[in-house]
Amino acid sequence: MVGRIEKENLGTTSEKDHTLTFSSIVSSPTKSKLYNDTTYKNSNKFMVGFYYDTAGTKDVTITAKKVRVMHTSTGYSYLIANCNLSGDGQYNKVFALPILGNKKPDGTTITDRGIIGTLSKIDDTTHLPTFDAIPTEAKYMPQFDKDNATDPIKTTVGLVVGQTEKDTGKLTDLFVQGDSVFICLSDDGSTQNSGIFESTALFNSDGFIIAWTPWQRVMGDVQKVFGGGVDMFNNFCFLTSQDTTKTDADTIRTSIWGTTETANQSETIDKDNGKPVWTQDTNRNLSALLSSIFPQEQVGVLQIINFDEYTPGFNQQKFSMMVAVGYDKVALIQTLDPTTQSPIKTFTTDGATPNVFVFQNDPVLKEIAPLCFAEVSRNTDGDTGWLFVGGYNGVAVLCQADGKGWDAQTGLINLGTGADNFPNPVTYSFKKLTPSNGGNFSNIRKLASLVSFDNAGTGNIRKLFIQTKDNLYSIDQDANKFKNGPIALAEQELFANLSTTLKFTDLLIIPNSDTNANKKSNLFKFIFGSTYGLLVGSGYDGTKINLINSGSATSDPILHLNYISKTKGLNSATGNLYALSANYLTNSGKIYRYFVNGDPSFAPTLSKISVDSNPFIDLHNFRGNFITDGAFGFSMIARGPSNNFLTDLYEIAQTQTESGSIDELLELNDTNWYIGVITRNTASGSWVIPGDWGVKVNE
Amino acid sequence: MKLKKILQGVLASYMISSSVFCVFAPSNTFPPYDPNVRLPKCPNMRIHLGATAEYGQSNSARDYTGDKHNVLNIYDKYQDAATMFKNPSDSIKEAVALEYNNMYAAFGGQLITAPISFEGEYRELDLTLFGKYTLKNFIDGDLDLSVHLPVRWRKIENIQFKDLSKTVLPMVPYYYQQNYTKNFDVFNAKMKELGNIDFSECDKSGIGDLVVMLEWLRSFKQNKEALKNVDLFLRIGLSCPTAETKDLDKVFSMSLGNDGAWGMPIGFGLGLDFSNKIRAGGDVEFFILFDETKERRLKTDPDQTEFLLLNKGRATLDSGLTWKFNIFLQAYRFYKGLSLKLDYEYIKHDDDTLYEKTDTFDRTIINTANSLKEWNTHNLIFQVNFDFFMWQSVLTRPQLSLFYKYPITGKNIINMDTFGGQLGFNF
Repeated sequence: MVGRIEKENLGTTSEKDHTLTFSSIVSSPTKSKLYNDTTYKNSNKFMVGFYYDTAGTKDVTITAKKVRVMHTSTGYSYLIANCNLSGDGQYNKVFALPILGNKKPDGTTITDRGIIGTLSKIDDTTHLPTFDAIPTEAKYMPQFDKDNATDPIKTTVGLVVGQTEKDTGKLTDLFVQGDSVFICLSDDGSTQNSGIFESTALFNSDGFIIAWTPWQRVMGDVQKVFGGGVDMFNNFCFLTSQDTTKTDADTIRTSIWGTTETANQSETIDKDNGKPVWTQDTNRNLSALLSSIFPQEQVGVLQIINFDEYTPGFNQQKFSMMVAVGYDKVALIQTLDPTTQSPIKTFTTDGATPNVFVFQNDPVLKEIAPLCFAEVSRNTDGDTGWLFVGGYNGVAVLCQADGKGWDAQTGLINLGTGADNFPNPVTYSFKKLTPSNGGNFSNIRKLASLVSFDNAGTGNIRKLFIQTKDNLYSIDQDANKFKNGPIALAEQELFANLSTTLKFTDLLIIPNSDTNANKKSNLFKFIFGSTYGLLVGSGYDGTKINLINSGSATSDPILHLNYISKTKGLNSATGNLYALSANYLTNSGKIYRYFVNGDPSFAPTLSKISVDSNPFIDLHNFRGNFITDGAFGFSMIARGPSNNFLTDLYEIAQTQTESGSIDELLELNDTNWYIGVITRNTASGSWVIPGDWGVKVNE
Repeated sequence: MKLKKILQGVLASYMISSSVFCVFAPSNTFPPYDPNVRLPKCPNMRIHLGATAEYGQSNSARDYTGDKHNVLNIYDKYQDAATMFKNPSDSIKEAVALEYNNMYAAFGGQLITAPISFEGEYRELDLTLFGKYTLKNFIDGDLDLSVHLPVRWRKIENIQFKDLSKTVLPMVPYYYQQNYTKNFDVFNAKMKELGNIDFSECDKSGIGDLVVMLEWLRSFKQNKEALKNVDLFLRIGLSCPTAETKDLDKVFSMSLGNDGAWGMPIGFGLGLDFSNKIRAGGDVEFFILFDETKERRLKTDPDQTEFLLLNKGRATLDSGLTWKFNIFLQAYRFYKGLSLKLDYEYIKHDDDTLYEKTDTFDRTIINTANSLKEWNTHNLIFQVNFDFFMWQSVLTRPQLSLFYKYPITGKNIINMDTFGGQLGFNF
C-alpha cells in the first residue's frame, strides 16, 4: 500500500487541509498487470504481488519484510523493498522499485494524483522506468528473474540493490541515505554476513538508476547489527549484542570519528564514584602505528591508497591491503584476514606474522620523494604482482632482484609470508624506473595499470600508465625491465603535441566491457583531469592515445576525479564520475556528475546527468579533492591563510545539504596543516583520513 | 606693501626638514615643521635660518595590533606566494594561471599557501633646511612665514629571505624550491618575470615634500604669582609633493614624502611661562592629505600579502586624518641660554581608504591591506637647547639643540630610537 497526503486547490488561497489516502502500490491492480497466459503465468517475478490461477502447479508466495523510500539525488523515487520471492523464507534480495512522483521526466505534472506513489511503468525496450505512467500490463511491471538476473529482458535494469553477491538472509534492518541503501545483517556464524553494508545507485544520463554498486561493508565493524541508522556526520548508530549474549540485541553502539584507538574505546563504570570511564582500545592500533611511522614533522601520511579484495593479482576475496604513502616512506598494510575473511584489527610490523611492512630510509624512495601515489599491476600472469609508487622525481617498482613480483596467478594472500614472501625486504626492494633519456619521470600525478587484450583480441597488453603533470607515458609490465641490470625501459610518450600550458591532474581508465575476455585496450577510454578541464582520450592502440576532446585553456581546472564503479577491483565500463572543478585563482569549487559508459557502441562516453543542478554541488570555495560513496560527500583542503576547516561534508541529495566540517569531531586543530584524500578501507568499511596526524577514521 | 613684505619673506626663506608620512611604512621621525624641535624664539629678530637633522635605524616595527616584528614584517607576518595568484586581472591572467597550474600540478593538490618571509633593517636620515621670516606689526602678534625642505636618505638593507613553507606544508617546497625559493636571486627573478616585482634593497636619497607654513604667535603677559606669560600659536601650511614617489615595481621602494599627495597641516598650541623659568605647553595638529589618484598595486583577495601583489590598477587614496598631540615641560633658559625640555608626543593616523577606478577590483578587498589601517606612535623626546645669544650677543644669533626620541609604543609604524639636533641662526 502507499499513502498519500493530498491537498485541494494546492497553491491557491483556497488550499484545503490534507487528506490521507491509501491505495495499492500497483495502481488499479488487475489480473492483467500480474499475469498473462504466456510469459507471466503464476509468476513470482513481481516483487509486489502475483496472480495465482489455481490451475498452476506452483505455489506462489511473495512477501516483503522491509520497505523504505529513496528519493534519489536525481529527483526520482524508488521503493526499496526487501522481498522474499521464492517462498522459502529467505529474504535474499533488496529491490529498488521505481514509483511515480509529482512530475514526469519532461517536467510536466502528473495530473492524476491517484497514481502518485504507485509503481512506474517499465519501458519494454529500454527496460528502464518511464516515470510518467503506470504499468498497464505485466510486461510493463518491474520484474526479477533470479535465474536471469543480468538479462534486462527478464530482470528490470537497476532493480537489484547490491547486485547479487551478498547473502542477505540475516537482514534485520534497512535504511536509506542519499543515493545509498544500507542493510543491517546479524549472521551468527559468519562475519561476512554481519555488520552494515552499503550499495549505491548508479545513474544514467537521464538520472534513472541503471545499476547498483556491490555491497560494501561500512562503519568499520563486523558486529551483528539488529537495526541502525546514520547521522548527518556519517556516524552509524546501531543495535547490537554484547559478546556474551550473542542473540540479544541489547547494546547500542555508534561509530565515531577519531583515531582507531579512540573510535573503539569502551566504557566502564568506576565502582567508587559511579562515573563512566572511557578506555581506548589499544588493540585497534592503526592510528598509533602509522603516526609513529609517519610523524607529523615529516608531513604524516600523504595518501592512503586502498586495494580491495577483488583486485586482480590478489587471492580473490581473501586479501586486501592499503598502501600508506609518506614523504619518502611507504607502508603496506594488510587489511583482510585470509582465513576468516574478516578485517584485521590489530597491526604489527614485527613478530612472526607482521601485517604491516614499512619501507623507510630507502635510497630509491628518498630519490623519488616526495611520494604521491601507489598502484599495483592488476596482472594475473605468473610472477607479475608488482607495487609501483610515484613521486616528484620518478617512479619505482617493488620487485625482486630478477625483476619478478609476487605470484599474481595464484594471487597474493598474505604480506610477508607464504610462497613468494611479498614484500619481504630481504628479497624485495624498490627500483627506480629510468626513462630512455636517463632522467626521471618528474612530477608524477597518477599511476594506472591496464591489463587487457590488444586490438586484435589475441595478444596481451600489460601496461603501467604514468601520468606526469606534462604528459602520459606507458611502460611494459615486464620483469626484464625491472630487474637488476634491466633492459631499456622503452617508455612510450603518448602525447606529442600537447599545449605546454596544459597540465594533468588526474587519470581514470575506463574499459570497454566488464568482461575480461572482451576487453581490448584500443576500445578503452582515458579520462583526464587537467587544467584544460575534463578531457576524454581514445583507447590505447599500442602506440598512442588520441584526445577526443581536448578542452580549453579558459576552462576551470578539473582537479580530482572520483569514480563510482559497478565493480570492485577494477573500474567498470559504466559508472558515475564526480569531477571536482576547482579554480584557486577564482576561489571556486564545483562538483559535476557524469554518466560514464565505456561501451564503444554508446556515445558519448561521458555525459552530464541532465537532471542535476549545474553544478551538482557548489562547494563555494576552492577545494583539493572530493570523494563520495553516494550517501555523503567529503571535500578536503590543506590549511590555508583563511580556511579554518580542512574537512567539509555533504549529504548527497537533490538539494545538497552541507553538514559542515568534521574537523572538531576529528579533533583537528591549528597545528594540523596537511590532509590527504579520504579513502574507504574496504575490508573494515571505515573511512580513513590521512594527514599530518597519521590516519584518523570513522569506525 | 605688507604683501610685498610677505613675498619677500617667502623668497628669503630657507628650507627645512622632514615628514612622517607614506614611506615604505610610516616612521616616527619628525615632520619638517614639528614644534617639538622648534628652537626657542629669538626676540627682535626677523629671519631665522637653520637645519634639523634626525637619524634612526631599526630592524623592528610594530604591526597593526601593536606587536613587534621585523621591520619587513610590519604588515604581514609572512608573505604568501600562493595567494598572490588569486583573482588575477585580465592583463596577467594567462601568465598567472600557467604558473599556478604548473605549481599545483607539480605538488599534486592543495597548494593554497606558500609562506615566505623577508627580514631586514631600516635606516633613515633626515636633514631639513628651514627658513623663517617674521612679519612684525602685520597683525597683533608675530606672523611667521616659513619654508621647510627636507633632504632625506632612506635605506632598507641586509634583506634576509626565508622559505617558511616547510613549516606548514613540507610537500610544497620541493617544486617550489627549484623554481621559486632556492635562493633570493631565483625568487627575485621569478617575481620579476611574473609580476615585474623587484625585491632588491632600497637605497634612496633626495628632497622630500616642501612645506610652507604660516604661523601666528601672540604672547599675553600675565601678572600672576606663578604664571607670567601665555603664548598662543596658530598655524596652517601646505605640503607640496616635491619628493620622488614610490616605485610601484620595487617592493621596498619608499617615497621620500607623501607619495605624490598634497597636504595641509593645521595646528594650534599653547605655551605657559611660569616663574622660576619653567615653561609648559601643548600643541594639537591635524594633517590633511588630499586624495591622490594613481596606479597602485592592489589586492584581489583578502588573503594576499602586501609585498606580493601582482595586480596593478588605478585607485584613489583617501588618506585618513593625522592627529598630533604634544605636551611639554621645559626648564627654559635656566642657565644662561641653556634649556632642557621633555616632550610627550602622540600621533595617530586614521585608516586610509582606497577607491578603485576600474571594475577589475573590489573595494572591500583592496581595503583589506594592513598598510591602510590606522597607525599611531607614542614618543618621549628629551631635548637640550642652548641659545648662544643669551650668553653673548653677536651678529647672527646662533642656537643649538640636541634631542633623543624614545619610542614608547605604537601601531603599524616603524618606531625607532632617533637622535638629532638643530642649528639655527637668527638675523
